[in-house]
Amino acid sequence: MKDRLKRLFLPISLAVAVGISLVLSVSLLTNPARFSNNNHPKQKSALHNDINSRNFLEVYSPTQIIQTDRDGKQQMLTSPTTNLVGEILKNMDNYHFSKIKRISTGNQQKYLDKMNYHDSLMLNYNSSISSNIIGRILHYSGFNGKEDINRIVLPIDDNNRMYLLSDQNHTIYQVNVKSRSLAKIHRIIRHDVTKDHVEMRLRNGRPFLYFPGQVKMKDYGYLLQEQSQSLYLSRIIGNTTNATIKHHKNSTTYNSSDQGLTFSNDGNVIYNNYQTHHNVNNQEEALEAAYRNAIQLGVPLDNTKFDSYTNKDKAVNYRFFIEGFPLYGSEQLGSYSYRFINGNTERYKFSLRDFQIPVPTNRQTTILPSTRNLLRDLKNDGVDMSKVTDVKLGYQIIPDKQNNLLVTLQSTWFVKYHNKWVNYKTLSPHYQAGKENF
Amino acid sequence: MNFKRIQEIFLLVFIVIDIFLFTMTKSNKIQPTNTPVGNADNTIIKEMKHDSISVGKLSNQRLDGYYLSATQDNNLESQFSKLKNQDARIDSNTVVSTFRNIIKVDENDPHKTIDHLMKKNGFVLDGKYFLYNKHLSNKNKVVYDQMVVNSTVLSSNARITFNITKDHHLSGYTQRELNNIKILHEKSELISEEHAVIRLYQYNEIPNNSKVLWTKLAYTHLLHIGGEDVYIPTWMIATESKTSHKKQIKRINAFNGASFKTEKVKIKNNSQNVESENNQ
Repeated sequence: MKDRLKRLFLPISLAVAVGISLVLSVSLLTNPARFSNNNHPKQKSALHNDINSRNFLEVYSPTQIIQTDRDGKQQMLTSPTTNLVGEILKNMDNYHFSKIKRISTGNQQKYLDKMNYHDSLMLNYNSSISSNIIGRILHYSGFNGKEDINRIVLPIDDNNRMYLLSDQNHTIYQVNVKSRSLAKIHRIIRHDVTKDHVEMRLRNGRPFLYFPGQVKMKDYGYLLQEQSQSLYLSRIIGNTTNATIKHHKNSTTYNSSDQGLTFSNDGNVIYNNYQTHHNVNNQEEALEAAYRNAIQLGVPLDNTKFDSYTNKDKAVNYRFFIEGFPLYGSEQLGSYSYRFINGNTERYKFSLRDFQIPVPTNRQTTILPSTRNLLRDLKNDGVDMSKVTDVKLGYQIIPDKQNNLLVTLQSTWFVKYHNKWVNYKTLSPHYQAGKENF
Repeated sequence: MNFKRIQEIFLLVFIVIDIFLFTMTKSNKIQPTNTPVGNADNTIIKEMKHDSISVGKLSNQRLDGYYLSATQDNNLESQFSKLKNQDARIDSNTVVSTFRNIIKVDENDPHKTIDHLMKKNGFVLDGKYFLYNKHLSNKNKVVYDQMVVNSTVLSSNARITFNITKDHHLSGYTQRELNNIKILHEKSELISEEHAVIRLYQYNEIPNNSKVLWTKLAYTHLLHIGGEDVYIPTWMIATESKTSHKKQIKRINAFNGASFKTEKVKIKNNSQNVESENNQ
């Protein structure tokens, strides 16, 4: 017996040693940490998980959330205490997407149905955005190369799919979703959320957000901060001894051999870079350049989001948003724009001033008329309605009479008239009586 | 070479391979995520060690915070009828109260006795909204900070200070309280404890050869505007020199990591008074 064991010892130990090496080899090969991060979008994003990449996501995230309940009733969700879109996107960070496909194009009814998908959340962009940017935000390269996207419809029922909507041709993309956490989403949309009844409609074939009733919106106060001109001068021009300086009545311009910087007395800045070293060929590259250069210039981007893009001049606009509503003003304050002109010049417009600290306001809320009443009154007041292509809720800036660094941001209707966003009070004498300081 | 010999050689080779593979699996457990950020912070922490600054273990956790506005409660006197066993008066919005019957407190941890009393009606006003602050308490006084939203306020305007006698009795207290607390802006992610200490070091506000005694995240006063005060989340960082034992408490804006200077500055000499701490 003893001899037999002695004889078997060697082959058994050899078998055990081979077995261990096999187990270790398999565990090594299947360990994801072993592979390079380059082919794994999730890990790539984690690598760049610093303040800048989070800001990129915030700047290029949707601005608005519309909830459609089980009966098809739609409500706009806002919160004075939580960045709802940010929370939803954080939740979507863990999703796994697969099998994207185009399920419809050119069919307005299907498009309207999808915007009214029962038991869903719809995340809206202010204007269409490159699908590649959405691919970056949601970490799924399958979104790349699709049409520009206006909306993301996220069913919160048992449908494990998500839809990307492109207004341009009424195109709907469908993508499979795994690892959703519906409980968390329901928690986000329940806690301290204001709900306004809305209806998503089509007007002349274009999606249109309709408010059937009066809208009550919160006022905000802000203390402005003004950055110094010298900060941008030293950052951009560097040594001003080689720059030519021209003083005008309302502005001062500094020119070096390849750059120009103009400061207006009201705090607006125009910066021209005549010698760019890279080319901007499409929307994705323009959005990328606009963001990267804003960071490099030191333009403050708090509460600032992507507003619009125009292919001519590759023009990118950012705007200050409050609770998902854009801020429109007569000055550059609260906006930043980037253009790539004639294939060699980059032009930036921004303000030295920004909204630094939220402060209490005297007035608490503003009540605005329903969409129907607004359109009716504009028509009755003789406004050429054929020139009105859109209306939307936003915020206007009301300066403080005593202190020029204090402002109140008050909600109002903006009307797209002659392709320009104007405050409804300036268009309609009906509302002139209540006109504030705009 | 016989078969047994071959088996022996193979066994040896496989044992060597096993050892090699085992060390490989161990070394692969390093987390690949967040390395660049972590490395930058780790380098600064190492620099701090080089300057003989001990920091202890610092957390990387990032919490959320709000901009808050509040006013000083100047109506506390109207609630004096609720108070028991004490003579209270108001002195410039501060409740100054003396207990009629002495209250014995725990000799080693006076706050243990007071924690219990704070929950009882009639001991102080709104006692359940105040939380013990061990950092500002000592043998002679026990400090409680007012709680707001998801944290506490660190300000003499939102505090109860109990006076303790030498023979471990409560003699009385002073109280100031904030009311009308409003959230001014949606919540934002704050910088971590580690990042706050690093920023303070980068501002040259931590002297060499010193140690970080404690840190605390709390709301502190930012500015006064139109009769109301604005409070923001702040990292309070207490340091002590290892040689002179001199202590200092510094503030870091937890939204953006900017440092606070203690002097007050007027932003604008206009009729509307806007006072702000100099926030760099």
